[in-house]
Amino acid sequence: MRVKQDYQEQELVRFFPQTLRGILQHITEWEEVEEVRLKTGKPLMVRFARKDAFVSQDGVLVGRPEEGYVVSPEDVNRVVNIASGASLYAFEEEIRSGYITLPGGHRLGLAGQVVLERGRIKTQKHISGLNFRLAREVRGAADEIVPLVLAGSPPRVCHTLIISPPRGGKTTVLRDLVRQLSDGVPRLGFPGATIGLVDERSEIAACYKGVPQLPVGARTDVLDSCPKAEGIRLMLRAFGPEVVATDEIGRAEDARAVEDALNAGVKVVATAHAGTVDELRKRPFFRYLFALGVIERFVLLERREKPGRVAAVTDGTGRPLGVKAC
Amino acid sequence: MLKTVGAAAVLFAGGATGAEIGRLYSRRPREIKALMGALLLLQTQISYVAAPLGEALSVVALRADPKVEAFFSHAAGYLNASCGLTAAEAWDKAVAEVFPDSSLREEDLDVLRDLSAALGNSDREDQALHISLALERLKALAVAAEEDARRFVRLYRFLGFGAGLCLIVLLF
Repeated sequence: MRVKQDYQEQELVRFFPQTLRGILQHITEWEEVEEVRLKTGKPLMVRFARKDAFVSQDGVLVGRPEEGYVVSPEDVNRVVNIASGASLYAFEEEIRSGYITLPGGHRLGLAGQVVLERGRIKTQKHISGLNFRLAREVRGAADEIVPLVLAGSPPRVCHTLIISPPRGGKTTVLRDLVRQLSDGVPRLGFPGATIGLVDERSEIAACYKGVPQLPVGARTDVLDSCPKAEGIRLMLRAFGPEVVATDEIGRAEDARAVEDALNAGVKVVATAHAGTVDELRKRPFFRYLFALGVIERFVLLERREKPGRVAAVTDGTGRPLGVKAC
Repeated sequence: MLKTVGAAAVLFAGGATGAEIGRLYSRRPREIKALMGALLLLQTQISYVAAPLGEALSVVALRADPKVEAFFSHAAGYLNASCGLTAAEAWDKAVAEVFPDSSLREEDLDVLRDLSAALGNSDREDQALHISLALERLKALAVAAEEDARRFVRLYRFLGFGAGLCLIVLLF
């Protein structure tokens, strides 16, 4: 356990300068840490699955903001410089999206002054807020839903939509589902399928220099940082996958790309932001998708003690399957 | 006989000292030009390849003139070691370690130190501008260094022999 924690600590602290390393190395709950937040002139903050806390100069977790170590502009600049490998210029596209993906799949969110060019974000300067989000594989996060996503004999993948509010664990469950569907599920007699994963925000596979940093399966091709609609079409043309997986669908162009996949006989596994299925029905994109009547499984997640808890799985008509709603 | 050998030794020592000082003058413009070539390579790596700085410095170290290869390999080593150094710190550390053995002067090294503060902190366009500015300053220094070399190399060689001859006259 200690070895694992040491590894996670080393994984993250290498992105920090010596001053902050000295503070963060005293944290003993690295396995629980989800985010480390730095804001110029504000206390250093660590976010856990169930709580958040400030970190004092001595590396002790404290509840009162005034007891926390106050992050200086120099700290922020140094972290940006070190975490980006002194190469912000190599992350121009990602900076436009507000984050950079780091080795190990971790993500550094950036907030500063946005520079616009012809109404579009060109870059950010005077960066004053940082948010490290730790990438963590939760192996087995999809164990509960895999038997419900596979149907028939021999088993085939169903068109599946995973739904949850923000920070509900959609991406974590999708990643593990993709891994299992790709590698195969021997206990269910499923041999595995070729999967085209369109990872627009580099959150699912957490690619660094194009290489997935988190396991997404042996039969998975990843299209990193690619707009979903274009990515789905590209995958259909170039890789002929049996399943297309993507995160957070919801725009009009996504609907057409999903329809292309359906017409090509490819199964779609995707996620969407929503608290309930009814909430989705009110949105034009999903009204259209529901009218097609193709979604065979809705997986509703909730965040309780930790993200990714399955609240309910229903078929396309809303009939509950297997897992009971809470 | 012994006097002749002694006089020859004094003359040789004087001449060698003058020649060595003169060599420092003649080496400096060559080293500045080698530095300029390497910075141009770095600019290409950043502007067109968008290679991360650690990788870009390693590539420059491989391809640069041997006179400045050590500087770029040291800087790349510090940056790639994940020891919590910023690009500026890695770069300045390499400047401090490598260049005392060179013919470069403080004003030449100031150009490198000024460049370090901007390294890796902005977009490609801005990085290219900073490197271009450093190249312009080095170009002016190279012209001055060549002028110095033309004026002083022969002067110091002559002075070295002259000083040796004076010493011989005084001693013998």
